[in-house]
Amino acid sequence: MSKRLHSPYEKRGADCLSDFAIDALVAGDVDSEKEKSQREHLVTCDDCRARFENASHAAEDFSRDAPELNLPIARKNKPNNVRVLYAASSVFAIAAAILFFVRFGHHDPETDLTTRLKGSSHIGFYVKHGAEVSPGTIGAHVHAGDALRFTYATTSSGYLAILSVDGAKNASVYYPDGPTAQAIEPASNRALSSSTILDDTVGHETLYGFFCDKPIALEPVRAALAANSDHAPVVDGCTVDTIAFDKDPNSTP
Amino acid sequence: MRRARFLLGSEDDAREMLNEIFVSLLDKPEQFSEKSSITTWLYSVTTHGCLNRLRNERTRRRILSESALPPSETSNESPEHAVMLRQELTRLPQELAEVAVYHYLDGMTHDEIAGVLNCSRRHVGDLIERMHAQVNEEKS
Repeated sequence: MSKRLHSPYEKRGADCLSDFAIDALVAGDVDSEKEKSQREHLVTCDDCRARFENASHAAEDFSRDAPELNLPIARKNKPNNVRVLYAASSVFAIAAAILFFVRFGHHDPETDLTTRLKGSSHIGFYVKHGAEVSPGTIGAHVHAGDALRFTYATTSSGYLAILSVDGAKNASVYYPDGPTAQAIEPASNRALSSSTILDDTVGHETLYGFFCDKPIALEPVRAALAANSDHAPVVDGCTVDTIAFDKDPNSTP
Repeated sequence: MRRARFLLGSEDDAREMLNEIFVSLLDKPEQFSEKSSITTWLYSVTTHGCLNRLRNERTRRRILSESALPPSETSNESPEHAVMLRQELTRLPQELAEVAVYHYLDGMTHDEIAGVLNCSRRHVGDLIERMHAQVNEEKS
């Protein structure tokens, strides 16, 4: 048994690639000049080529069978309304984490809900359409079957609930899954733990984010919205932020 | 995932670590500010996360009592080497443990390690020397 720690680097040639270099090459995370010289090396080096192929296969397997992320599980069984995704929304979570934050690292403050109006409480969302994840914008067009992940921004602790009135004037609770508003901490742009798949009801939809100083019961608020869908009910101890978007029929991305 | 699985010696712990990293990224997107490449960022945050977990008392006890030889996750690592490295990582101070991961596990060059640690190549050389000295001292 070897008693000495050794680096893999000791056994390799001077031009050989570290695991880090191979991972970066597989991810397409190298400049073109470096990539060219690395790929030339792979042609001549059996060890590096084998490690590169292993890493490539592992990346393909991961993309195909992404491990489920352990997000809090919530499911609503309302056939006429939206469904809440299970932790199988891991693909969405990974897509949001990688695609969104790498591709959309810089937001347009004019339309980006995630940086709206500092100093007050706001809700926002990301939308996943097929494999594409993008930040929700005011007046956005989303599609039936898209997944939404909500965010919030607030400077004080409290309780949050997000309700919706859809194109058919149906009112529903998107967040949280329980009967009362959920405790939240101050955050500048925090994603909530569950995702929602939009159902087939098309048309203009309005989200209402209730930021409250206590865990209000949600059914009375939902019922009030259903009775008068044009106005957010006044709830003692709560401020309300609204976002509207238009939902179109399902389309293949 | 590969690195986390090797460092933690447990598939379940590695999945948990992956979960924490991505949920944290969703929660606080400002963590990745694109000042480094995504590979660099992922290597750094995975290493930090795994080393923090190794310092967890329960994990540390498990690692230090490892005698069974887990399957090696990299083609160049013997199971004995994997166990030995994990045990050293639980003993080394954070800064030296980090360098040990990049040096002994990833086989990274000094330049690559300097890129991840955001320091000079010379400082990387110093850290590796100190790390070797500490590892050898423990074995003597």
